[in-house]
Amino acid sequence: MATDEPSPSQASGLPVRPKDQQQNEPQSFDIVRTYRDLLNSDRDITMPVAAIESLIELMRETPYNTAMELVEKVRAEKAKLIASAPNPLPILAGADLFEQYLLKSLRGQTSDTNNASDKPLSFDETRQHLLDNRQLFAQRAKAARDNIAVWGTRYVSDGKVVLTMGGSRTVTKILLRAAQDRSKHFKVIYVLDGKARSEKAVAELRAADLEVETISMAKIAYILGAQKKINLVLVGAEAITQNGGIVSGMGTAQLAALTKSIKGGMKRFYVAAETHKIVRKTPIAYPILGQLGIKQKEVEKFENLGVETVQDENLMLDEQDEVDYTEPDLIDGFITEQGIKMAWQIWEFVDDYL
Amino acid sequence: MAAETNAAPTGTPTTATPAAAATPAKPQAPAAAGEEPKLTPAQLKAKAKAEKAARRAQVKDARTAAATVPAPQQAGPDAKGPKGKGKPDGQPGQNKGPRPSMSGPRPIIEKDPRSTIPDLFSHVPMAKRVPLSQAHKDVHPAVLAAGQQMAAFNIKDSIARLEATLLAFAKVIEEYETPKGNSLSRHLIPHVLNPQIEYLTECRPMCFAMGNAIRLLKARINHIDINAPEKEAKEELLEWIGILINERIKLAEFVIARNAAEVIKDGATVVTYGRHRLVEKTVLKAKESGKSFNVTVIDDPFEGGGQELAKTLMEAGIPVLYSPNLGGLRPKVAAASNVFIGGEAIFANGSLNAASGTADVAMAAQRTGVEVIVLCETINFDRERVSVDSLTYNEIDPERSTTESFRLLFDNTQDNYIAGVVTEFESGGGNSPAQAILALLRKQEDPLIA
Amino acid sequence: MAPSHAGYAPSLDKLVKSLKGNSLEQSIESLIFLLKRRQVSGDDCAVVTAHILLQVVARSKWSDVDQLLGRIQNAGARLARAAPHEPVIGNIVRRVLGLIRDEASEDRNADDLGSETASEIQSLAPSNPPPAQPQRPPPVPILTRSTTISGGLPVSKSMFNLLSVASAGDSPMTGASTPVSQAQGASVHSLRSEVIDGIEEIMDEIQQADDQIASFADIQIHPGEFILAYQPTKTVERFLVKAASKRKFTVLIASIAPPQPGATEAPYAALRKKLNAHGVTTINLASNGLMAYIPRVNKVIFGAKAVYQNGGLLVDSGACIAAEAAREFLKPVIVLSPIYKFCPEDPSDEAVIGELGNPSTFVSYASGPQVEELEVENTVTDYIPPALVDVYITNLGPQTRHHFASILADHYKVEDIGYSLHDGEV
Repeated sequence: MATDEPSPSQASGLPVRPKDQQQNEPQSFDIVRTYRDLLNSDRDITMPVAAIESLIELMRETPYNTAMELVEKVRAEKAKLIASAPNPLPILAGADLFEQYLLKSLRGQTSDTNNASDKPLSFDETRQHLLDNRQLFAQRAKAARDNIAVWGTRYVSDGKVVLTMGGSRTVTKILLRAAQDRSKHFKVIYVLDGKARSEKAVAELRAADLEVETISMAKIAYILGAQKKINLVLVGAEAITQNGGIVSGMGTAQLAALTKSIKGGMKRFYVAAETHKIVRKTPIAYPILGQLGIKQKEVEKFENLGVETVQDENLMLDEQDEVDYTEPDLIDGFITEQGIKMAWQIWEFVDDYL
Repeated sequence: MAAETNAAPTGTPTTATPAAAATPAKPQAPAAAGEEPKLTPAQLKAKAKAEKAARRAQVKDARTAAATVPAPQQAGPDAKGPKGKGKPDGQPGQNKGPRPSMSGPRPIIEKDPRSTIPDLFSHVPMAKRVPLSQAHKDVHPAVLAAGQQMAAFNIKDSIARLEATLLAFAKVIEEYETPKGNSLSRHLIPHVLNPQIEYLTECRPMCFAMGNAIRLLKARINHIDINAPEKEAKEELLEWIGILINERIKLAEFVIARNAAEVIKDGATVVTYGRHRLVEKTVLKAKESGKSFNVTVIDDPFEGGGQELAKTLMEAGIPVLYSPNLGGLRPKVAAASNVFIGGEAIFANGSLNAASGTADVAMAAQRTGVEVIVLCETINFDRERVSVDSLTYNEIDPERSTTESFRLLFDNTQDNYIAGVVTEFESGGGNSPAQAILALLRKQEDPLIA
Repeated sequence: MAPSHAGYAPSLDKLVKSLKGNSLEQSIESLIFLLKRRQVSGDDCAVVTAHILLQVVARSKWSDVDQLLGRIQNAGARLARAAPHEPVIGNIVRRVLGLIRDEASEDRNADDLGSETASEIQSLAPSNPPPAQPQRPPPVPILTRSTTISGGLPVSKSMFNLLSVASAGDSPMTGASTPVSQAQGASVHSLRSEVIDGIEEIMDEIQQADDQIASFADIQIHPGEFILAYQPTKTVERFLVKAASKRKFTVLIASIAPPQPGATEAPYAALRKKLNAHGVTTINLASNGLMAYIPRVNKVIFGAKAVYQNGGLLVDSGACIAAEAAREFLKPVIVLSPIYKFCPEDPSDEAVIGELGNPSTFVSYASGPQVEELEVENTVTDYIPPALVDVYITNLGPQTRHHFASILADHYKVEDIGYSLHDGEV
């Protein structure tokens, strides 16, 4: 437990903080810039966690009189942050989680389970806990990925082939971990979607002596039909909708649909993702991505495909990528840090909000 | 399968319509018999022509009707339940006339095995052993022997039964002498062949190949000039039977095995179900041509033929994986390159009639993305009847249907589970979807003229 | 397999009785022997496992909760590995582990341990010496081998773990992740008797499950229906007989293979007699393929060996044929499974492919040298994907797979879910 150790100044190991402290008055705190700086400074950080950390910084910088006042401020800044991104879902996932945690403390539902007394934390204590442990949360988020790798390794079988795409770091981690297991000899087929991170993932896997074959998107159906040794199709996700669908890099929905419809072999389609990527959204109306708040060119209007260019050089490359939505029906399961979950179990996580 | 007891193709349409009157030669009623000689040769010829035209029309009607109105066909088997009614050109009432002695013991023989048949399957026919003493006096010894073997399932494959039938009929024709005042083409069918057919049907419901061949044979006989000398006519018929056996059985088997063997590639895993002659020949053929591949034999433990097949293939040096039952079917089939199935018959809608359990295997294959290839001679194709379930045309297994258990011999596999059918047709590649072959068959010959 | 269930019952009783006379180690060994030879199988595995674990609690030496958890895990893993095709063993082990955790934490609260002790226990976690290393409960099998994982697995299903104060992801997790007291003296004694009571409750649950499931029979089976019962297990038999006492219907019984030559009784004779006595018609199908019969059938019913988290089933081989055929003709598939057969995990690849059985029962080796070279693959279990199942009837009523998560959460502790007994290096 590192609870009491890092004082606020010590916790500022990230390059962004000193800048904030030196240059910015509380009033001029720029949540969007904080968020982007965080993402830029640490490649391993996920967008939801970056959003949470940004909001923690916001709290640190914001003087307040009442708890509600602070909550309102958090809400306002959250909205700003969400508005800044072409695909706001990852931010929404993290920011929602954060906001709900604060609200829980208002209801006296946050407690220190380390303490046998189970005494609820006050709002101020909760705030302090959040400020103190910013780094811890980031660590936990990374640990979550490690846990996913542990669970996910089970699904990589000896003598089989894993088909993947999208350059998910979580997926890469699972495969690298599985490669450590000497009793498992497996191969990977990587669908290249033209993104740098996919290339990077392939390089990483190859560096670990894994046999990786790369194919183009056009070959997915062919490979799924002809390569009967594929027993696992594994992807990451940017966000998980509460009905158990995923929003993920463009092409994921296609891969999922083909995995389900192309017969041959016995394939499972799994999504490896942290539970903090769950967003409280259920896509029930057309157009799904638009309804989810994703600012992508609208196909139904016959616009050219592509992401609405946001004139901001600070935008992360990842954010510029197009995404698609994969229905829960096509997903056999989620590999989360809390174990294997079926699509219909995603609801339960959201239940926690209530 | 019941309806094919009726020597189907001719039987069903002719009895189904009033135009059946166009086959007056059949009735055994004294009145009808007396009528015949009165016709002059010319009249007869004209009549035969009219008959043929009528039947063609009916066949056409039936073809179109078959798709939309399966009712009359299903009525066949239903009505058939109690006993072999609706014989070839079915006059059950009149048939009883000539052999009143049989109506006594008959119900006893029939009731016994059938009494245990559950009600919901009571419409399905079943083979039964007819004691030699109770057979019709007109049944030829060769036919008697064939019938006994069929009833005992010593001859059970559709093609084997067809061959036995044709050979026996050849004997019948050889020894046939046209009574004075009759002509062969008028007399042979109703007075000699029909009792044979009736007897065979009684022993075991006729298979589709037999139905087809008998239809062809009858057409052939009808076709013979009424004035043709008996010797010539008999020779022509015998020669025709010989050609039929050669082309539709012997040559067909060879061509099918050769064509199907080409589908098997080096390193393939072939799955088959039970034991079928054509599959066995195919696999051995592929082995002879120097290919190395594996065979997974999935057996029906109630039948056990697969074990024999596995042994035979092993002896030929083919690595065999033997599965004693349908357990683990999905993964076993999923690991295969192809599934080879031998067919008993193929219906006009392209569905397959084959050994019970075939449909389960074919479905598993289709659901795991493995192509199912059916091997089947064209003589087994029925171009008039359609089957959408396994209870329309089927047979009860007499051996395994007791008070303790029940078993159907066949099941029906929908054509969407079948990737292709390998027949003896060479043009356009032997292995086409069933519908393509049916279309070819329709073009190839008038169903009534061989 | 199914018909022989009845034959096992006496030997089960005998086995259970013998447990009391033998030493604990002897009992475990003899059960392992029987499991490996499949002389104990199916539902009996659950009962026997509960008995053995009860003996472990009652007779093995342990001085604190961690030790007890370790003993149970150790014994459980040995049994489970002896019969990898019987996931129900693992379920019972997990149930008992969860029970111990519950009792221990109740004790802790009852003893009103101060925060001092509690924090001491926290610090104990990494250095906890008494259970030998191999007995450390691995939350995930691989964890035992893992050194690269910095944190263990969070203990509750909540997204708030990320932000929580509890050190969910930060300290290596042990079985004692829910802080439990070091039960001493009187406390050990009371824990022992509480856990034994709890295991007896589990045994009662197992025993009553079939009757409870049967109580839903007349809701599912309607007058005049044709029911296909695939290799009816004891559970299914009771279900059918119960329905027969209220309704007239027809049962078609199918099985994977004909009775062994020389069998004295026709298959399912006893069941058929009972059903016939109620005026229910029975038909034994002597057929492997079922596509021919399904169109006439209204419903397909069979029992499961295990129900996985995803709703997929482990069944005696052949039932998959029935389920697949039923799907083809859109007939409902009703699966009977007591809750204790619900596994908190996904099926393994091995389970999906099916377990191979002893081929000798199917091929007579006397039939010549060729047969000996024949590679016989006799699958004895099948996996049925969730999409082929419509309803699961449990002792807690009918369920759909969308409610499994809460059922599993009610019966297993998250700490024990990842504990895979088959792969664990124990």
